Amino acid sequence: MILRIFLNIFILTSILFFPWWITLGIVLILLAIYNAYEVIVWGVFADALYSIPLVEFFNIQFIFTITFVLLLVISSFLKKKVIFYNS
Amino acid sequence: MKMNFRPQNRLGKRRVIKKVVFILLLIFLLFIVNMFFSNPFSKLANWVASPIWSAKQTSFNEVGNFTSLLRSKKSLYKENKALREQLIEVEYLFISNSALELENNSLKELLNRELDKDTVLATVLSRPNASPYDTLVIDTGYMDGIQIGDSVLAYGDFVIGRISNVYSNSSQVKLFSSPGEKTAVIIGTEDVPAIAEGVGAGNFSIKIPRDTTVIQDDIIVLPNINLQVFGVVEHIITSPADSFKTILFKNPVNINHLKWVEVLQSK
Repeated sequence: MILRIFLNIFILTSILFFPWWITLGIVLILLAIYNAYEVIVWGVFADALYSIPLVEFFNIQFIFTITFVLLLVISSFLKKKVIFYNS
Repeated sequence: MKMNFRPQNRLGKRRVIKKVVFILLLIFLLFIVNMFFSNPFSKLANWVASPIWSAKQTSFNEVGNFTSLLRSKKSLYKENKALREQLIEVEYLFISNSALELENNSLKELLNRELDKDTVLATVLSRPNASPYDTLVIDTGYMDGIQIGDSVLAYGDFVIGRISNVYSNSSQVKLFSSPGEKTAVIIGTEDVPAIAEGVGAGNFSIKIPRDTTVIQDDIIVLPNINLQVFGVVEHIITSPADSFKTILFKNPVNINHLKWVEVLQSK
């Protein structure tokens, strides 16, 4: 639980101060350890802070949220398939 | 022959389906929100983030002041000497630039053009590498008279973007280099009009007809009565099979190291 809180604080810090790929890395670590639904909230928070409509992203302003939701789905799916999490 | 099959967990499957449906609904909801409201949670997020950014800015300044006291005298002496030499060169350049600016302004005033510009100094709270959107967050908002669409300048004459969102004490800046962002510019002494397209991280590309005269180090400016430097031509890619040539350049200012910017207030 302490690790989960620590990782969440680290995600908040990295959203505010570090490059986006570091945030992505910490989210991946958190999702590898826990079924962390809070990443959706972090995604919404990051999008609310930085997003603007860009042609490159088809004017979608929820790139962080969508990425984190997809990562959450993939991680929960993989956890069921990988023997490491079942043992 | 008796065969053993792995028992299927129907409850588990149902739970997965429920999860997938929930997530699809969530994404669908986000799309709907995106269609009708532009970034609905931005005010709340900025309200949370602004004090943290300001605290970091203050503490880093304090730490920076403290560590400068710990540096050796020898290294300080060397740096001081190098900076003095640099300062003399810059002073001469500044004098000639000021004279030219004065002459330029008086000529424009002769033609009855207004030249006074109201700028507000702002600290950069968040740099573009924090997100793939290529935006800056600065510490001035509508309380300081900032409006959406105001130009943002770095080091006086280098224009880097426009205000895209304004909050009470902070604003979001959309950089001209944001991917897909198109800006009308003028290139070089021949005043070639073109459209610069942002490709992210302070980089741009321009496509112009191959026969147009543009050379390396040509200055690219915004079409404006006041000088607003946009960039300097760095690479020109031409191909005999292509009737266009591609100009590649980046912002002369390193946006990832910017501490302050000026916001040019529109009247």
